[in-house]
Amino acid sequence: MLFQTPQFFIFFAVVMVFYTATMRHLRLQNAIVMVASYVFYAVWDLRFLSLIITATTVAFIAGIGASGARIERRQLVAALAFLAVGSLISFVPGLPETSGYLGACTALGVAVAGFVAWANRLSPERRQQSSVVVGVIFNLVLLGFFKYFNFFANSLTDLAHALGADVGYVTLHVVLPVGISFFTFQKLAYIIDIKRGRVEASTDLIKFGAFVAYFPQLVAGPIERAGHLLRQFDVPRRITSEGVLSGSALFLWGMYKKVVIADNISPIANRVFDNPGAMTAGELFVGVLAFTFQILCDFSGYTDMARGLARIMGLDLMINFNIPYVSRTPSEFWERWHISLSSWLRDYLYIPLGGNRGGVLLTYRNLFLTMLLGGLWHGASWTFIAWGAFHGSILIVYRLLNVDRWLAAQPTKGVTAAVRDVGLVAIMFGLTMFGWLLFRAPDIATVGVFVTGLATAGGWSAAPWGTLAFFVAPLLLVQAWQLWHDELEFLPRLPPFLRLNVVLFLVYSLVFLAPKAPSAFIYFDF
Amino acid sequence: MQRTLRIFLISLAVIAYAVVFGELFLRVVAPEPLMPRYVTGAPDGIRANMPNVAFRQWTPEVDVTIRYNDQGMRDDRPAPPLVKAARECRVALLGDSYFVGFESNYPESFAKQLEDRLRARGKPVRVLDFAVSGFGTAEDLIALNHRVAPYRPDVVVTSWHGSDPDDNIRSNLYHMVDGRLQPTGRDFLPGIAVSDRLMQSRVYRWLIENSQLYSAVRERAGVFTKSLLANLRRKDAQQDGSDDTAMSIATAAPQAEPLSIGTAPLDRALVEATRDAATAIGAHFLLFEVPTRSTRTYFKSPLAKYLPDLTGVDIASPMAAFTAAARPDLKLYQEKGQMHWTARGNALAADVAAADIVRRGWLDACVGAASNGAAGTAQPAA
Repeated sequence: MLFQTPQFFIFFAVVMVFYTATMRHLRLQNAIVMVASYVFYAVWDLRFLSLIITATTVAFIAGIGASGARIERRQLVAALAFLAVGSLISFVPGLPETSGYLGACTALGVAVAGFVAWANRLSPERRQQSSVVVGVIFNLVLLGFFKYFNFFANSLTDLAHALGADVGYVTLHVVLPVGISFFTFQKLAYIIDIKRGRVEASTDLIKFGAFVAYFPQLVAGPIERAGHLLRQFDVPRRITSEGVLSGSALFLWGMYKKVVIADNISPIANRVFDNPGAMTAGELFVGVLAFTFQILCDFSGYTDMARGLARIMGLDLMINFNIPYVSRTPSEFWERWHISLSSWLRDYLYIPLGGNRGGVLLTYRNLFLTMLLGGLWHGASWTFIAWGAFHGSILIVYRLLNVDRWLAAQPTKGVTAAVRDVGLVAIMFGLTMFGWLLFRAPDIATVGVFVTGLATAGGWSAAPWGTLAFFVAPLLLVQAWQLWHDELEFLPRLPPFLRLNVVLFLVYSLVFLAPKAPSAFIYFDF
Repeated sequence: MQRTLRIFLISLAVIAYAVVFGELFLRVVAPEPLMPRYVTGAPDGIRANMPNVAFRQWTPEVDVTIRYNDQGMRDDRPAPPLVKAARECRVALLGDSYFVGFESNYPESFAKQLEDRLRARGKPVRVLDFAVSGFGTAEDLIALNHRVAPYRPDVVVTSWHGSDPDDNIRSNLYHMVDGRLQPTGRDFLPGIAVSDRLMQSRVYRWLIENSQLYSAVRERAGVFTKSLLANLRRKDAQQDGSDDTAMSIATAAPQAEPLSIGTAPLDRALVEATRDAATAIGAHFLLFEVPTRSTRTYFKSPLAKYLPDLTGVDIASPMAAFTAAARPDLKLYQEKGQMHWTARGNALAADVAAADIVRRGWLDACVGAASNGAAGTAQPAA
């Protein structure tokens, strides 16, 4: 159920009817958010509904334990009941793979009960520690199994073959549950933040379930922190005309970016990446350029739609993109691109690794490892690892050259500053494009084909520059406005008549320029 | 009260502005083809081209005039008399907008180019174009019996297009009962009552020929209604247990490969019935395939997709000619309108049809001057 489809609009309208009808009953409203989110997820894949319910149950118990408090009997009973209902809902008679869920959930229920009995006998400090370890390991094992098992099994088999050994066929063809990387990271942050004393453990399973599965951000983020989103489920929401209008405007702009820009330029990129050997240098360049804008509009479009929906419901989701392609340095880029992930990696990986506290070499190691794992987070593929390694490397090079520190000491206004910034942005944009080439290429050999083709093949004029410019131009105009006014939400700030014209332009574009079939968001694969 | 009136007037002004903005948006950013059809209802219960009209079709690629003669045939000349002159031959065309020659001026249309080619081969024939935009085989069959038969054609050429299976289900004019084709006894005049009333208005006629916004909305509404009708009809057929539901399996997902190739009883029966009806009036019957365009150089065969094992019917297809002629810089189909054949596409198709008809010797009896169509305009029996 994609946001831009009529099915979703109907779904959202129905949810809003129940949501607004329960404005005075916070717990009931949270329950509606949770159930709606599970329905939303079940439409993607009913089989994995039990997975998210299971993971929610474990994180709920681990969260209470991580606070050092005893896990009360009623909390355990609620968690087990939740688990039982979840496994029963996901069980489909006649669908063989779902029959195993009942057994797995029963075993897990026994394990959870056993863990609670054991943890309650420990001292608060030991309980805290063991709960964090169990919660983090459980989430990482789930993520590792579903996301990386095939990759490592295949890589191991390939390595063994290369060494002349036959280890047999070990791949299980594990299907990737949609959104697993996002909701797993969200739960990990929750458990760790409780341990760090930044948030309180939730003792309300329904509220916690709504937080973990909140449907606008369930499948592709932003990766929310409990300190920001979970707290909002504690207080009654207010639906205001301002929130509905600005939320709708945000949704409209996000939908335009996804449906009109990303989906219309994706064929340019697909054509080039499908057969790069047959392309001219111009076509190769335009293909990478098209993907560079496609992924921005696809992902930031999704985020804007998610944030718009949440705002209509009286909730706030964090900003995930802040005009990333005007970054002057890699560190600026990561403060503007997929902010919820980059800040997650900073808080839960880079800093625990030591950050910049252990000297120059350790800082570089930490930077590199963080970006490498950031690349791996996107998927189990050598190209993602290469993408992460590339970004880690340029972060190190810029740090070695002290570019950020030098920039901080330079004047920010004047012609010289403008020329300097344009030059730095151009260099960083080129590096970002190369990064996207690594990211989008099916394998490393294809990257070689691109690099060779760009250096040797002619035919720059034959490339589809016009089509790309036609669709990207409105984005650039809006981003210029956003930069000029230092304000991301441009629609509510425009004068009324101009706003009317922009809204009409966006709506007519969506009606008449949208490709016939809706396409999924790129980040749903992660 | 005054405030309410003010809000009402502002809303009205915003709506009016939105309409003007939409028209300008389409003209500047995303030009939309203007493709009026000028169809009306006919006494035989199906649609017909409005007689004696001339209208403009515009797309970013073409600006053409379509003229229907006094009998609603696509022809710049009046319809010929019902009674043929001695040794005069007639070829009747039945089909949809491809055979009407949408997006082409008459001299470049399939019908005229076919006539020119047959004449160039020494066959003084008159091609009578009975095609109507949106027709499927079921409507072709009715049109053959009621409109074509009185003209006693020597050859009947019926198009087979990828939209025909859906059209045949949607029109609900025939269904299969115990393996036999049966008329349902119903009419199929979708939206004609409303359209007839609207067409009386000069403003509306101006709108359909000049407003890209109206055209865009109408086209999308049409596509939506068509798909809704087809789905409803499929459900009805499944509930009735009619045998033509096998077809619905084949066409339920047009993007996907059909699940039941060769099990299209309704389509097959309609083609065979059209052949039999042509034979009954002493005409030869040719089923002519309209390839489906995938790219400029790649075409798909709707016959292979929907009627792969059709036998007992004479078939001609321009697939091979299209594939041989295709080049990345050559358009055989329009690309910014509704994907009808270009003049070159019409010419290639006409080459194939003319060669096939001549090769089969179906017009060997045609000797002497062809009817010029100027004499007599007798009306066919409805």
